[in-house]
Amino acid sequence: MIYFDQVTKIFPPGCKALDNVSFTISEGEFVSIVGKSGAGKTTILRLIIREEKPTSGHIYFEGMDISKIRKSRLPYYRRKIGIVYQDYKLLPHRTVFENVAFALEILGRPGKEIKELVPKVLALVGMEEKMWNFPHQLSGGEQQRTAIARAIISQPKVLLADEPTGNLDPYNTKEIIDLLLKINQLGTAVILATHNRDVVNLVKKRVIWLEKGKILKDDSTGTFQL
Amino acid sequence: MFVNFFRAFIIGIRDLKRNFGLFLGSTFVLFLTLFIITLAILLQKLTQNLILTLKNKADVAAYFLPEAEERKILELKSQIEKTPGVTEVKYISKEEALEKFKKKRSGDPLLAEALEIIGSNPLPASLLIKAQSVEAFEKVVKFLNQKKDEYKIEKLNYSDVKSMIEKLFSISQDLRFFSILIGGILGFIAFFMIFYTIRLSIYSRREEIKAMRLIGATNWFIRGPFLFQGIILGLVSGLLAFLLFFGITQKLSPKAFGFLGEIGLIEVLKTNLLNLFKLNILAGTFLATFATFFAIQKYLKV
Repeated sequence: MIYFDQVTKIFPPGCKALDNVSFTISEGEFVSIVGKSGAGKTTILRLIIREEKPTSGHIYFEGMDISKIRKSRLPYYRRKIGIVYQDYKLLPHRTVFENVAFALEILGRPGKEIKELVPKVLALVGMEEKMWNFPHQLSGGEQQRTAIARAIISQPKVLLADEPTGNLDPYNTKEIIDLLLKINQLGTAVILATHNRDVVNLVKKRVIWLEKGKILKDDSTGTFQL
Repeated sequence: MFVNFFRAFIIGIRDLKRNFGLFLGSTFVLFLTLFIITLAILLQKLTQNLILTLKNKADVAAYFLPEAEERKILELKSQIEKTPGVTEVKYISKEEALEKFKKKRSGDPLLAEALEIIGSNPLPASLLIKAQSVEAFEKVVKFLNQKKDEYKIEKLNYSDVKSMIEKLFSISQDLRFFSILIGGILGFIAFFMIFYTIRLSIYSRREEIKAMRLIGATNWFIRGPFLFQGIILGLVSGLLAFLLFFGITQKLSPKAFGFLGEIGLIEVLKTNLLNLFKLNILAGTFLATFATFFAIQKYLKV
């Protein structure tokens, strides 16, 4: 589904974030991308969502070279991908319900459908009781669960998670990882970028290990080693 | 399409309520902006009035000998009226001149006595001529000098007033220049004030805008609510600025303004109320939406 073909990304003035990286991610797969800070994990995710373009090489999504997508078509491409961040990126002036509904509003779905679907997804992530709270009234774990609900409500093919547990305590971390595994079981591919060894050991799925922009190891049974 | 339009409106209103402090700040600045722009435009209008008043004060008078016939004077009057650039020619007969003189000096017993001693009316008949430009005045004076004997003109007072007329006209020129300059500067300041206020308010929400892009919202979907807020901001500020000027015309008497009242501040305001309303509403809406559009553009590049 996603194919990186000899991708190199150099940020000006010459910082090589990715160096000739190739890998494939299949539909429904769960992949952890691990490595130290600055190893290139986040760059991979930003390239997939086309926040950045590769300096050389190609990235294919469902057989399409994504660097060829025109700017005006970019939103439609991004709707196929769900993404959650370490800092959640919730819309601060909108309630939990409205944040999740936003992902359906941009698709132009009717209000009735939104009213039905949002509470269901919020129930899936365990946020149905805080539906009318604003992000600043929530704990970190709750904010992340809201962000996940927003990312999956439009049923994307793949969910990108960039250090989703970076700001969370071990208890909340486990809950979020369990949630990601649950989403994966429902058929969505998950790409998880993390530097947390416990998280990877918890997941026990394929691990791509990056160091200084290169793939050091692509381990399909994966436990994280330092 | 309609769903999105409607949604943008609803979200715009909701966001506005939740960012009310920001909205209030922008409203105040835009209100000030429009107030300044309106003042600049009023300044132009008032300057025009002032220039007209000044120009009206300039005139040339031709005084006739006592034996000059009224018929001949009126004949000359209609001839002068035909001269290009002449705006007004007024005939003042001997009797009218005396009447005016008496009125001016009423309460002066010595004068009444002196007039009685003379027994007849010592004041001459005259023509008062007003013109648009110094050149027109000069043409009239040349013409009158040629006909001096034919029409029994005793004296022209042009040489006395020539320098004054020239001064008045040059003051008018300066006034026009400075009013345009000051109006321009004020308008410029006002424009940048509101532009940067809106830029800052959008800047404070840049992360939100970027997040929307990354989730897959189209640019118009993101802009929509902001543009609606801009329109509302423009309408509210425009209405407020208009109401202030409306209040001025209602509450204050022309006398309160002294000189400004004399040259028609209140008149200008009253006769232009509808235009002021249109100006404030349209300029407010245009400025706010234009500034919003450009401010937001920068964060839609993700």
